[in-house]
Amino acid sequence: MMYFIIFLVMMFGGLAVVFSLLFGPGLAFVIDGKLMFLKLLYSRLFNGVYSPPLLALPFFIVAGEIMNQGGITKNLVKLAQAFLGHRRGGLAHVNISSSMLFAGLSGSAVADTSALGAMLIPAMEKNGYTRRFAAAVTAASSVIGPIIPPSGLMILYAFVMNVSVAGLFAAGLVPGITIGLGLMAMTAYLARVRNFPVANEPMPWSERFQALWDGAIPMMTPVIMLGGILAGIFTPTEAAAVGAGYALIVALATRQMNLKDIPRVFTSAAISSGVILMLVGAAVSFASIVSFYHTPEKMARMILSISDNPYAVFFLVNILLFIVGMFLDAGPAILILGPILGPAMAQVGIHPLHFAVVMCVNVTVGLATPPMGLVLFVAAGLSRESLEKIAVEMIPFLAVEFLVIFLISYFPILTLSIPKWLGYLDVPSAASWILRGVGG
Amino acid sequence: MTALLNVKFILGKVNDLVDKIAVNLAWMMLLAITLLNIVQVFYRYVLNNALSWSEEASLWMMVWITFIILPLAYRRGLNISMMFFRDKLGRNRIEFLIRCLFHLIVIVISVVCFYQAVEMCKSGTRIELPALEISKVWVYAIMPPAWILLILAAVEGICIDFPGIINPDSARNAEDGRADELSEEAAV
Repeated sequence: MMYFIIFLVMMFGGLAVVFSLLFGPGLAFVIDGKLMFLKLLYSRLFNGVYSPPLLALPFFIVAGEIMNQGGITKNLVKLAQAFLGHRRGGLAHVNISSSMLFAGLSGSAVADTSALGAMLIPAMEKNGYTRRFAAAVTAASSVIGPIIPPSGLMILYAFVMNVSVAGLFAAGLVPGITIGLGLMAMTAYLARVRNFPVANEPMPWSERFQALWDGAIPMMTPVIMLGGILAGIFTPTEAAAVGAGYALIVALATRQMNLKDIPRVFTSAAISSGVILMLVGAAVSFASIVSFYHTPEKMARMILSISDNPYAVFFLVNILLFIVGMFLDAGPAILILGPILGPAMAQVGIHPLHFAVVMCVNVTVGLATPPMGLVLFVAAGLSRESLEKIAVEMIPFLAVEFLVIFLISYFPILTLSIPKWLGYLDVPSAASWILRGVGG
Repeated sequence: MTALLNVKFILGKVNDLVDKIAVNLAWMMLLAITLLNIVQVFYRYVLNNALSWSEEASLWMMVWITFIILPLAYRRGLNISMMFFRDKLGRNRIEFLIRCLFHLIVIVISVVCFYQAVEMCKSGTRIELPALEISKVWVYAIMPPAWILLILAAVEGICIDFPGIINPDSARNAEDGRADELSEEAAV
């Protein structure tokens, strides 16, 4: 376990995660005198990057970057406002529903916060909300981004844990929508208690149809991607490429973007892709060392020594993931802990797809929790409000998100029904409690 | 100290130039693989004649993008880090010392990786990409220069952070000045 201790010390000390992942095992090998294993470490790093399934990732990032352009975001907000703006707390509802729509386009919580927050936080403040509440709603709802498919985070998990991307996307639908609806229910309650304003008068149906039409064109991107993958027409890579192509054509045709913007958009996507792919390579390299030292088996033994009841185990693991999520970004958390906890949880009898979704949701919610919530930082930056004040306003919304994590952990039917219906569920014999849950 | 400043100046110029080239190469490659995969879908589903080489070419460029971005991301501080505990330290002598230590660790990692990458390139001459019918060394070829450039970026980092160990106040002011310049550039 020396490699793991060195890794943790380096990472908590502030060395970039990508280098901590390489340095921990590398130094442990040097200390153990196993220098020939450095070659294995490096070849796994390369193989981690040179992987056909990962080709989808840069395309998803490209599609997200294009869809992040101002005009497309405006169309989505207009669509949400047309149908929900007249309700009490209308703009807060618009914020949450826009996040749900945006989730299908960008798959990134940070992109969601920055795109929607820049537009909606000032608008909400003008409409009579406090700045801290506007920032809290934006941050809380943007965690839906990586949960409702398509999701870059799920591609990462599927890659490192060899789980079906399509199955994972299908499994993320219900949790994502449940979080969105839960946040809206909480907003409706708060709107009544705090007497929040309405954003606008009910719009005539002609304007609603116009908003629907304007929003429908960009919303076809997730339809093409998801529909193509789930119907078995495209591979995830092809779907992502077609989605990126469609997004580019729409952005150019609707003049949200012109040809001069292409270098900027693709530069940003290339930098994000490069950073993530190198992290994936380092994580794959690290994962091979994790299995080399039989860490998942040791972890499973440790968990089973506490309890062999899947419910109790899930509770403990959820607490662990939540604490990790408070400090670590979702991507690295998935890449580092997935290969350790995934096999261990399978030994306890929890279906890999079920655990994958719970883990993705849990670490994503961590993005919006202090002290190291990336989404919280962006919301604080946009609203110029202190982190502490936003964090306090977020408590009711976080309660909803924890409730959803609890529900999807203990009611596997919520996550596994759609994958089962679409034929992505290969239930292992050990998972008898899940069989009961989905009636299989 | 003057020698250190001279090295920093020269490395800064070299790394700036490398960054510019890297950014342009990376976005063009990403655009190319996006278009290539769209064309591939068209060939596969419309013309019913899949391009056998598109995946190999895409993976080749994906590897190149990843390694081209590596030194640039390091220089710009874009790699994901856990700064919670470090931020508690404030920018004092210890913080600058830790920064220098981490730059040194990155140099050590880069030297080991450079050696392994060169070994890989040597073995790559014997492997051929089946569809493209070229040597796999072309895929590997970006790795050794990327690690060298990462070493240069880390050395530049040491040149920037080392004065902070001796005089943290002036290093802090210099850093704030650089941050202001960058934000002004970004605003422009």
